[in-house]
Amino acid sequence: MSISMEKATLIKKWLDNDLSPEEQKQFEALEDYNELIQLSDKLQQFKAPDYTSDGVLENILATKKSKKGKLISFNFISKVAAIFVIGFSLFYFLSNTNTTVNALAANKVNTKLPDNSEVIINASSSITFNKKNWKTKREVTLNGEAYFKVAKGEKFDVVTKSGTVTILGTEFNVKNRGNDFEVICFEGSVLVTSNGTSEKLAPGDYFKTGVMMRSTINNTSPAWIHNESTFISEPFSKVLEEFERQYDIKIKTEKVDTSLLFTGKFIHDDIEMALKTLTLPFNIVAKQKNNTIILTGERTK
Amino acid sequence: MKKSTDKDICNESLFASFFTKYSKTLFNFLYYKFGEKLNPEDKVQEAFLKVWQNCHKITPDKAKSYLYTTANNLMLNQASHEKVKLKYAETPQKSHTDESPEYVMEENQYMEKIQKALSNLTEAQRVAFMMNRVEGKRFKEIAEILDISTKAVEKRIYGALKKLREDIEGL
Repeated sequence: MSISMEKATLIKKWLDNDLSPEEQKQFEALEDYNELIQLSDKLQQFKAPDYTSDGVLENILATKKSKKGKLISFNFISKVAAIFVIGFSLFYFLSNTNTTVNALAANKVNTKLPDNSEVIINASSSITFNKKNWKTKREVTLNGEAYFKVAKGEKFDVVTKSGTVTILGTEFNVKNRGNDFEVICFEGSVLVTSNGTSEKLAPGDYFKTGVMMRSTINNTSPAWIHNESTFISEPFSKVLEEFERQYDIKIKTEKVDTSLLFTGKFIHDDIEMALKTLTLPFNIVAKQKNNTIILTGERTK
Repeated sequence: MKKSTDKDICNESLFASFFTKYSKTLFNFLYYKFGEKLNPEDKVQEAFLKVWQNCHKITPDKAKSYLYTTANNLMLNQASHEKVKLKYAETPQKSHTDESPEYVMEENQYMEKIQKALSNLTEAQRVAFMMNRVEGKRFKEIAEILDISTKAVEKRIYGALKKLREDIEGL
């Protein structure tokens, strides 16, 4: 294929889109014209696919921490967000490591502390301890009444709102109902701190709201463990409160002097029998309506 | 805070306009040179990323050549020795057609001839030629993109056309 200089120039100008109207006519007159146009047409089908730059620039810009412009605010926001996330998860984590064991009314719960010490929680009571920090802070917060059988060689504190019991030995009962704070040591020794005074209890010792009674308890464990509640010269109102807790029931009294002292016990698994042990000594008549027991002190009138 | 607008291309808006200006052209350059097998789209992103990450070392007037060199090297790093086969869009098949089966077949053969001829061009020829014919760029624009003289561009494109026509005729 021989192409004259003139023809080559025309084709080059055509390629560069640089033909004058006159040259355009000359080019169209070329014998190669149709072939060139056809080839050029068909070449369009080889066009590169569309390049989509969507998001690419943003991706690239996001890869580097710049100290200027918009990225500052983005970084600042992400830092703040990170602090919140960390703070929140820390809060969640810490608050979550407090273990609380609850015993509902009419229930007793057996549980174990992280050191394998045994705890029996009486009705309507709860203990809270921190599993995570157990090694550094052996502390159990008690709300209500519980019996502790401490594993040998272990020491920890039982904290109640009325005082703290430091375990030096092994088996003891802690009762904190309302303002009553009662500790009985059954084995080993415990240190009771309440209202600024500390008392060390030996087995059989009984501590009740500031009063120490040495060697008064002959049992080896509290009665409630064996499904009984025992009372020594307790106001009758306290006895009824305990009754309510053990049977998950409400008690109303009419013409009953609840300040009378009661010594004795009631059992936890037979409400008829238990009620009799409470009402007979005081000549009280008991009537049950749904979930409420009404005690009427007719005969004491 | 020092203004770095003139010294480098770390400025975001400057980089953004740099990206907008060159991303498509770079993509076309890589595509016509290496075909689609080596993911020109990814290489475009990678090359721009390299520029951005090294922005403090790159002055605005050097940015373009840095970009092209980087992209080209990224391609060469995994270039296969296969011939580049550019894809063409199939002529849409009409359900009703007056065209004879012979015509359709000839048409297809013609496209395949062009495809083969294109892959026989040198990379340099093909890039310049396709930018001119398909992307509609004039010699001067191509010269700027490729950093070569307009005369060199003309030589490549005209040479490509000549070779293409000979090939098609011979095939």
